[in-house]
Amino acid sequence: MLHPFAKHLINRTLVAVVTLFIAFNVSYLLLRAIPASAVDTMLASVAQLGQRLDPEDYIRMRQTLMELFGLTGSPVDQYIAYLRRFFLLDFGPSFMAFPTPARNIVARFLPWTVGLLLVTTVISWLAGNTLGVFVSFVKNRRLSRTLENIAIMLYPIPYYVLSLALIYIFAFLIPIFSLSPVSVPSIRIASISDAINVAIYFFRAAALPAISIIIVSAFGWWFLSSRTLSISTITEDYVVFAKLRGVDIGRIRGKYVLRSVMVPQVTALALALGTIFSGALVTEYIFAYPGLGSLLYQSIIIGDYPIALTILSLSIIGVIISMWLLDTVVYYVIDPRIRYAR
Amino acid sequence: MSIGNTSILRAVDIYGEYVVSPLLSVKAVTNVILHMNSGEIVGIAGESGCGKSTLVKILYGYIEPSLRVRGRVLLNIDDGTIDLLSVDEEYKRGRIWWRYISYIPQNSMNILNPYMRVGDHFTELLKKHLNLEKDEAIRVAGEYVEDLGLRKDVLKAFPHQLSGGMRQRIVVALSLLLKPRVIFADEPTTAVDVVLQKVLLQYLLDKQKEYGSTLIIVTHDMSIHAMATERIIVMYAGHVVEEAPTELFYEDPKHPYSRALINSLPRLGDKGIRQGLAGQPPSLINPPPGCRFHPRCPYSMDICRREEPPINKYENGWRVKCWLYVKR
Amino acid sequence: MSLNIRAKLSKISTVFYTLLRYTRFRIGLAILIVMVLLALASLTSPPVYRRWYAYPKDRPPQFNLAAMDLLLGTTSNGRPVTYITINALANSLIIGLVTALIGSHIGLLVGLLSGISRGYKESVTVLLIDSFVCMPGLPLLIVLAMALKNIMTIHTLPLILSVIAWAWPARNVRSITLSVMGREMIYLARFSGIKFTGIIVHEVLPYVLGWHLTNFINTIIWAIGMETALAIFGLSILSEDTLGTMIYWALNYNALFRGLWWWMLPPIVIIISIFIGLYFISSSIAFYLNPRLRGHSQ
Repeated sequence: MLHPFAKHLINRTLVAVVTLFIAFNVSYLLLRAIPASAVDTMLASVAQLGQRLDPEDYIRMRQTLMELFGLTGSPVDQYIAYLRRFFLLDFGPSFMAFPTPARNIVARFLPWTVGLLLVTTVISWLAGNTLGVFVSFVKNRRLSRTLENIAIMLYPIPYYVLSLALIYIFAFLIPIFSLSPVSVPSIRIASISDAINVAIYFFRAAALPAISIIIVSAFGWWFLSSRTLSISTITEDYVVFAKLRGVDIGRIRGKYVLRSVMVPQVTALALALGTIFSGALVTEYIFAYPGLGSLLYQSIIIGDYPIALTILSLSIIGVIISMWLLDTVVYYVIDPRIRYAR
Repeated sequence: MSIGNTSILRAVDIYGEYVVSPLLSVKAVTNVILHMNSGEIVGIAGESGCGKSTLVKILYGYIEPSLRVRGRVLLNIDDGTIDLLSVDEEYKRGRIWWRYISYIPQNSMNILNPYMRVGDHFTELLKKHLNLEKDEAIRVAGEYVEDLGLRKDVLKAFPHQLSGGMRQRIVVALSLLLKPRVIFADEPTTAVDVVLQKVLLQYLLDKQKEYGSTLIIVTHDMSIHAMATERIIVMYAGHVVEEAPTELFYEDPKHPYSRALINSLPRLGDKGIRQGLAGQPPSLINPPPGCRFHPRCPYSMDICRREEPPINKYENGWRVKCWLYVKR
Repeated sequence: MSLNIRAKLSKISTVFYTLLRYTRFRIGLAILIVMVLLALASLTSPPVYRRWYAYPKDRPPQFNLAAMDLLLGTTSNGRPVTYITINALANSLIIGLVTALIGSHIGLLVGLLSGISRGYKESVTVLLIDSFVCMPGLPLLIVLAMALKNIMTIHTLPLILSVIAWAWPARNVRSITLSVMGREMIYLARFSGIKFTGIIVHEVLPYVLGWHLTNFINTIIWAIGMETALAIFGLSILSEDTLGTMIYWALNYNALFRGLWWWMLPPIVIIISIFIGLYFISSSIAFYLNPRLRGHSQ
């Protein structure tokens, strides 16, 4: 007889693999739906952009596209080839910097996106939850109401719409932040001064996108959800019983209320971290932040499918891995009801 | 009554209402006068919504934000007498609750913190009230639990790993931890099957006897009152309508409402159809004038509709709030 | 039968009046009505507004009632912002509405099926829903839109959006269906021998429909947002006016830095208003439907 957790682990892993497989198949089928004539239109648009193309390069590009859209070989070959590309994130040479593999180009931009979203997700999670739980403890209903109303207005607004509003304020009315970064410094760090330069550059470039992400997600989602959770926990029978026992207020807030709010919130954090590859593509582009968003925009203009597909599979894999971690490790650590399931 | 008649808890002219809006309030408890002696077992009976749960919360001094109270609840402690409704909450939390009085709430199966081990519930209280160090608290908790006839390893478990009956026993054990003088039990055995009900109640009664605490049991279940209590208090629509020694009460309840309650109980050998009480209890937002029971009372008279009945006193502390017993 | 319909209508109107008691619902409804009126006003726009350079370019707003065309100024290609804005609003609303009509109904169907089926059918539908739910929407739609750029119209864009749009409603409907199916009344209905389809239609569906309405509204929000995001990347129907393409062109002509705020601000203000308005409506309905939420606050 297996330990219940081992069973759970196997079960969730299976689900993750199947989900990944389905997601893969969906993206495969959708690409199959693209008509063959599209390939030449795409290549025409690459040529239009004035890139100097050798005839050989042109043929190789055509080859890549034909293969990606399943226009060569038998269906079985196509499927296996695509499967390999999907999981190795190897979609062939990029068009914008032919013949550098798309994978390498994505890898160059990836740290910027991951850095931005990792930092902003963690900051907004901390800020939003602290404020939400704090407000639910405070007796002042006026404050609670006001904050709730602001949050409810912010919640449905996507990051990029707020970015546009912010860009208007900061670039036009109060020009503090630079909006057009000079050039992407190489991420390779040889000396301390390099590291400092990269850090300064990062903060300058990341400030505005970070602010717009943090405002929406901290004061929208995290604040609202933690406040609601906390208010409903305070009225739970086990919290009332603790009050009746004369347990100190501080301890009730920490060990009873906060502890229980943390379970769904850590869960949601794990899910949010799953989207660090694709969470703020539009915002990144709007602020000309040198992350995947800006890269994606470039690749769209040129019709650089290898890069777009690499970003897509990366996002899918990211979300599914985070879901798997959530179902297994995170729950195991934070919820004793799962850890010690009978 | 075996331990003597030293008074431990007195309630004087208690009113309690839930404020719904500035113009609207639910008058859950109206004009209640009570006294409890040390060591006795008192039952509070009445149907759901009659204010009995609110009454015990007030007696315990636990006032929820929307509850507004008047009156005094006097508790005898080591150094004198205090009014639970006027001392501040911090003082009750630090010095009174659990040390002098404890409380077993409704739904006692699901009131332990699901994220804390059972043992931490005990050590938390020992550390706070007896200023024990952690190791000491763990040792004391272990001994205490074994003393109560539970296995020591329940302390290491999380609540969800134990059966419902076990969790209820833990709650009872928690309530007795500091040997309180008064234990309030609000519907301690609802949502439990009859067999477990009996076991749990017996457990509570044994421990109460051993510690000489006063036990106040609130329940709508008249059979529990018959089995466990020495004195019974019947509530109807926020009023105490009758107060009597339990044994005598069951033989001859005086208030018409009490009679209806007793008549609804099945008896051995009686094959007749049980008599129910017509109508609904009144709204506590706008209680009827006069006696609150008059719309459902089979003996209602003119005066019942106009004036609130006085309390009539008899021997053995028997008291009835009804016009039928007023000599004119 | 007509009695039945009348009873249902009166039930709907009582629900509506209850909803009207929520301030949030009233605000949402007011915003929505204003937006719909503005969108309808687009029917009055003169055909010439679509032509480039039909008007002087880069003209700031003029508050002159005689020249309604120039109320919000003109763009860098000499088109009046007033007409662009109301047409963009109308088109975005249509995209949202059509996507919601397709996506949320597929979601309703799949969710119901998944909620009532057992065994392997259930596992298959759950896996399908879950894998679509965790599919990162924007990157997938970008790849699709890149390939289908040439056939993109106001009517095909909603179809493309619906590829993803059905998943969240399906998951929601499934969980509501499961919670309804577990209730005593369903057992009662089953044990009393009522046909299974009858149970679904009479006991489950009425309950699910309220949530379906919130899903419908949320899908509109999602679709308008997605269209905007695609448009900013230049992947929407760039020849048509939508809120997204309006932002795209404004960004493209560097409207912000050249100080043409009247070009940039209207779409942003309208998007924020629509989102807040629709969200207020859907959250009040959810609030009404969920007694646990109704317990505290309010």
